[in-house]
Amino acid sequence: MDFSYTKEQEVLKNVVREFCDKEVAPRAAEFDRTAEFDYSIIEKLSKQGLLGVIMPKEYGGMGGSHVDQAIICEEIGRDSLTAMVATNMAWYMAYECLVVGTEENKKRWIRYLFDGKKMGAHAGTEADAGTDAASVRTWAKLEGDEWVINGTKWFVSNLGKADFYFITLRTADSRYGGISTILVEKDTPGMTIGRRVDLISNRAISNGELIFENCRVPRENLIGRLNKGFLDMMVLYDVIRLYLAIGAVGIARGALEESLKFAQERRQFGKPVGEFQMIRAMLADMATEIDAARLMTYRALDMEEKGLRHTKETSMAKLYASEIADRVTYKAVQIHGGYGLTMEFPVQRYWRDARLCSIGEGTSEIQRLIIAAELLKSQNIVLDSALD
Amino acid sequence: MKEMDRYRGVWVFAEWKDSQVIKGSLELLSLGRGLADELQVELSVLLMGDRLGGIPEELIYYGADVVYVIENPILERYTTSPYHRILCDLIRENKPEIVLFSTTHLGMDLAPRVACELKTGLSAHCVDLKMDKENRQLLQICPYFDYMATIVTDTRPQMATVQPGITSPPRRDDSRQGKTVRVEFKIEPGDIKIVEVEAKKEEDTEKIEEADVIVAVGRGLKDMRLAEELASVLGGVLGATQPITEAGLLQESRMIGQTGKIVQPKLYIACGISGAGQHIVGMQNSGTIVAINTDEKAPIFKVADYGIVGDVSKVIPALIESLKG
Amino acid sequence: MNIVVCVKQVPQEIRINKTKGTLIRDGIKGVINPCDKNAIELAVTLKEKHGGKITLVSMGPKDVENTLTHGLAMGADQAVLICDRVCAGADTLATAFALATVIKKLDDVQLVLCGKETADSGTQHVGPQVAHYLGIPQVTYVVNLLIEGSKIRAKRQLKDEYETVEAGLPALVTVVKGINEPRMPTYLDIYEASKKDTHKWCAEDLGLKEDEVGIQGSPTRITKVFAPEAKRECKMLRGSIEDISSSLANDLKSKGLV
Repeated sequence: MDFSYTKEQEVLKNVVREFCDKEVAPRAAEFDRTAEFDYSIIEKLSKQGLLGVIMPKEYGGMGGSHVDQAIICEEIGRDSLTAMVATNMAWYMAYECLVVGTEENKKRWIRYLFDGKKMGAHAGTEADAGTDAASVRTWAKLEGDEWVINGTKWFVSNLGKADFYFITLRTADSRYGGISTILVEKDTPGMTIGRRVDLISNRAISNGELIFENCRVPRENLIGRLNKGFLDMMVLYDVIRLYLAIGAVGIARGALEESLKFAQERRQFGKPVGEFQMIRAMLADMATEIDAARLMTYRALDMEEKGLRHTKETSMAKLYASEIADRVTYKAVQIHGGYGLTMEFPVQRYWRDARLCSIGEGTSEIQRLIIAAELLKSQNIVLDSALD
Repeated sequence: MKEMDRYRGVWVFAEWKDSQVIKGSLELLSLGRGLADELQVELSVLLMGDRLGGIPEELIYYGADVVYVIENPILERYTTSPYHRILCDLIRENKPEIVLFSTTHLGMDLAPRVACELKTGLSAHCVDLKMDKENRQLLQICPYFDYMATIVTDTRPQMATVQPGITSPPRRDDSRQGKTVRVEFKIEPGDIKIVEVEAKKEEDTEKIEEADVIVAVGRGLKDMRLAEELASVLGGVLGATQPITEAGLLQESRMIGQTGKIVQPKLYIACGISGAGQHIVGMQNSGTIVAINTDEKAPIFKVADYGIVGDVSKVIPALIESLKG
Repeated sequence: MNIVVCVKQVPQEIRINKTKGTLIRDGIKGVINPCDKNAIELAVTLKEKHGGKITLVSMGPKDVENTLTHGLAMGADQAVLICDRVCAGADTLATAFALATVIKKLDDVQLVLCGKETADSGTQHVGPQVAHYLGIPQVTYVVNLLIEGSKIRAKRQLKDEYETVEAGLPALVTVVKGINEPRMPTYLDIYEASKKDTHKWCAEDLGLKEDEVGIQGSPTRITKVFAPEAKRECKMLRGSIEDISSSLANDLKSKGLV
């Protein structure tokens, strides 16, 4: 068991930090204020070979390890969770294609999608299908060599910014056994952007409604196996959730580092507030929880690397990391006192942004259900029905 | 007699430009005079160059007891090796116990190499020099992050480069008498040949050292526009600490401190600057200093005339209002 | 043409042990001294043009290896780390001696590059002192450097002027930050770098005697670290922001400063 970074990983961490100090940290507050992310960061990250390092070399990636990828995500997340989510969107869809796609899918799409410029988006949620992802009502019907899509997606991240959308939709009547994923490129006739939503968390990730009215796309745009989309999604989530977990670790670390700085500078009753036991207790708890969350996430990523099943470990890491991010950022605001509530200190942004973690990519409640199901070896309300 | 006790006398290395001794060197004469009087030894000045005219006499008027003059066309403009050679030979021969340089590009090029040949200690960027008379040891006080450090040298001579602007030049007294010693050296041209000298263009060098009012920005201020507005209301210019220029938020020519500019404006407003030693040496001689910082114990308040404990981004807008009103 | 770049690891943030007054290095991440990155960048661009081999030379504890790997990822070919307890506590003279001893052992070094100064102590001494131990010319504060045959042509950035000089090789050059924009290594660079050699040499390997290095080889020592004393009587302005501002504005006006 090795808990230390390799020499390469130590350097990688420094290099990504250097990148973030230059490109991310100085802009993070501005992204939040203007609710606009600067997508040129993605190209810069790609130029450094730091975008989607886990993608295999044959598909333009680096063939790097999941821990390397996590190091990159944590550093970016430390300065801006928004930037981490946005930059991951430039390789997630290619990764999805790699994990669940057919051979034709891989040949046709991965290089095209993963070019260091294009942004992806995933449209799963609908007005009545959120956590219960299998109840989607957007339909795709095959007409000749084309899919005809109708329906409305909601809470689509990267809305209007993405070059292509992966749409989770219904291709057959069966609840779990009728779900597929279809790729729709931007500007495809029949796909329009509807109502936009103004967020308090990760404000710069454009979000809202995506409407399909007889939107036609080629048959080859089906990603993965027909009607097995739900199962594929679950497999994918085992990994993707870990990247939100490490983003949560990053943001919590940011909150801790800011708090440490503040606690040493801010003086009350004639001494730095960091000398008061109650502040110290908060700092100690914050650091401990962050460390535990990071180790849990690394453990699950390492299991993925070794080809082991890690559904439970992923859900535990995702659950724990997102909940401690919430606690840690809350405490960071508390340590900052009145300053914590001002827009001039970043902790309020960390606190708002962290809130995404226990909701996105499966709520904490769903993670608990998955963990319990794994523990009890009982019927998993979600997974097992999908396997029918 | 211990080897160390063979060394006596205080030496100052003088620099000149346009037939004038530079201000930093005159300040060294102030410091050197004080040390020499305390040790009851002579203060000698080393002057190298060509066509030095009345500079040796000037150095006597400013307090030198002895001026060693080495005049040669090769020395007209500084290059390392001839200057280094002459200085090492003179020190070996005369054994001064203290040799002071000003922290200039020349001083910082020459002093380390001389110290190296003489295998003696050299301190950098001194902001104060004191004498431990009992041990006849020079206490060299240098900025050490937010603190000050006292450095001593166990070998002789004790060498130091001194930050300009830490003291005033001595009063010129043209009735002072001293000795000018012209030293002849067989001087070889150095291994470095100067091929071109060009003055820096205006745009490269923001002359903040000439401004009457400086609004200086540190890490505590996130929004440069606020500082700009304050500077424009006051008719001043922006200055910065090293972290700010390193982050690219302001140009390097605005950096104030040990590695940047030494400024003495009539009014200096430190915005969100904690006051690291390296910064303070660059601004402590300003006329009136106002410091705004969240931390009441920040070292900047120790050099300030007015202190405001508070969030600089709130204080500046209010101050702008009051100044306009 | 072989190039050596002297590299120092500096703490990423400066923290002082307030009772002892010493710099805290434990638990603080070390990074390459910023100016040294410019020196490495220059070495790599010169190598791209003139060929040769770049060796990084550093002195410090074992973890400096990571810092050196960063430099190797930027394009240097190998690194030498002087790593020995007896070298600890060295001042600039003892440091320069150890670095120069390594450089003398390397083959056909034509150019030695250093950053103008370090971010932690900032003395600017080591470059000229290494040059002296090597018996080669030094060109300091360089903002532009060309190699012309067996000579260098360097533009020095001085106070009010630029001075262009020529010197024969071998020579030592210290560079200022403005000379270039150091490259950031890519992911692949990092993994390539870890395959390159980092030689760890102790004092004995280099034939360094105990009284030539570390504290014993250092003629200077710090005897005291203290907080600067108040130089002025600071009038602390208290009250509401509005009151503070108007009283300050009035004072400044009455002093004729506004």
